[in-house]
Amino acid sequence: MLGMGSVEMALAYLLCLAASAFCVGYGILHWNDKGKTVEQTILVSKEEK
Amino acid sequence: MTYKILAILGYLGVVLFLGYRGYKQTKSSQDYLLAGREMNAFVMALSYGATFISTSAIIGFGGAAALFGFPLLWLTFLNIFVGIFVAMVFFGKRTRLMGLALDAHTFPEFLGKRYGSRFIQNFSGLIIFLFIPLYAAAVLIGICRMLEVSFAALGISYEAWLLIVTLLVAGYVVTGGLKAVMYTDAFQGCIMAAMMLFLIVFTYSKLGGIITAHQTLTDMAHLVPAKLKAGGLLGWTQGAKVGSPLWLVIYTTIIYGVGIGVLAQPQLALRYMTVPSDRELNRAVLVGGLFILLMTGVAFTVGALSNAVFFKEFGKISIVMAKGNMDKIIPLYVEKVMPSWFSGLFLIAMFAAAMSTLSSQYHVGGTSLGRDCIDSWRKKGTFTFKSSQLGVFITVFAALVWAWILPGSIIARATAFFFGLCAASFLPIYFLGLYWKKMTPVAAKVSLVGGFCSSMFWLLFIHLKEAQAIGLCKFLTGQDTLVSLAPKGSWLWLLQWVDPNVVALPVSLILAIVFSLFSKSDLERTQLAFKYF
Repeated sequence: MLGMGSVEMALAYLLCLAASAFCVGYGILHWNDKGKTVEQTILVSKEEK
Repeated sequence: MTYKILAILGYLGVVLFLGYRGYKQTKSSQDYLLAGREMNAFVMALSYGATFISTSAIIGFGGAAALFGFPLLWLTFLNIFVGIFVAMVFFGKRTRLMGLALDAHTFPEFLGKRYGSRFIQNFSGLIIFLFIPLYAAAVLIGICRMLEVSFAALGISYEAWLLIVTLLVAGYVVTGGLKAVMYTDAFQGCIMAAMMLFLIVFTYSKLGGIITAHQTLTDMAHLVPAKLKAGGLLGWTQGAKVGSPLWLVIYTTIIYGVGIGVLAQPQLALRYMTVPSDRELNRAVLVGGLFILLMTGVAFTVGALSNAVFFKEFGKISIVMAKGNMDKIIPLYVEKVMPSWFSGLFLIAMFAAAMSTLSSQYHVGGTSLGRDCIDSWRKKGTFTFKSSQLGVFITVFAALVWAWILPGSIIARATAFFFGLCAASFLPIYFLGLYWKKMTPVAAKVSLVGGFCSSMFWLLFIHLKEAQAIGLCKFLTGQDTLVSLAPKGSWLWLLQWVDPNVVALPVSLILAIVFSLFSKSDLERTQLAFKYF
């Protein structure tokens, strides 16, 4: 399969491509999903500069 | 040579400009430690990827792929699925919200505040500060050896390159903090991606296409060196015999150790807290998924196929071409097989890969000392990024000293060591801290110390590579490891090739769960940590 000497290696090769494609798909589907918005009160501690 | 010098100078000009931009925008410790929590998705994803992937992954592990073949692609799969998707979606989103709720600025501070324990913050900070210089030294050695060879005509010694690269990177990390680090990382990530894309297209074209290339390598199984065959390797596209020493090295150290270890890397976990919302993390999944495929996917594929190309062009397999030095295979492939213009650009890509990882290592090591140890011991509530700058300076110096004294062929081993140590020490308390309200401070302390100690014990007394190199076991018992006298081929004897993580991570996880069941949770602290969920 795919010129590989074992099914396991062909599977690893295909899973790399599939995982990458899955990440692309996930990114596109959730492109504008901000999730839970939290009021960004930055609690910067007492700070010396 | 002139072309190489001009290319490097042009590259350094852009890096220094971005570093200066980061410096100008750094006004507070929030900027210095977390890039103001306002990074965009593209910069964050490329910075995460470029920090994740160093010269070690491309040169060190690419060379390992030339030796062991395509099984290393399982690591690429884990790099993408675990290191990007699981990391961003299941760790990143919760870390960002919990980090905000706890007002955490560093990874040790995050763990310390999650459990209301200064001990956890200090101990985690010390582990990172003490051991990250070793990992940084490995990256520094890699790039300086490459520069020494590439610019041999200039007569600059290896030691001089160590000083030059250290000064360059340290300059913008000390002054510009995480903003400078992330801007430069993103630029460096773009260069790396372009070079790797060309590398894979060229290699497949050279061998007549994807399937033909793989088939050529499959037909070369009889050329696998006798030593590798004895270790259990069946062929570069066939994999290794299950349970053989090589199978254990490939699957426990390289694939499991590094593949899972990424989840508890402090310099990567920190990046989840630099973005303003989940949207950036979702977009980072897209960018990161492609980026990692282009990095380790290409490096491992080209590494394995280099055997076929070298054999076709020179009648020798890769390890013979490199005269037995695995770390030289990829540089040699670029020098001998790729077009001459590419070698100069590839050098820049490797320089970029090294600098992006080094800068993050210096930053996280320094802030672990400055913020998590020095500031934490000072008067409560008084923080300053001056102490983090001091910490960065000390980390840089420690890495330089290690790079001076460490032996050769250390890159992949030092990387796996740090990944393993972080996973065993931090992963259970980090993961359970994000998801399990019943996880208690006592259990977190026991798991942290237990994971660290069991990992160190395995490294010093059982795992052959490190135990033999360090020599403590030999000094105390007269044997390289505690199991070296076991009958050859027995499961006890095979333990010498089992990665510390295989044992230390489950130990640390079990300690965390068992002690949580029998100790009291800090309700107020848990409520604060989970207030946004």
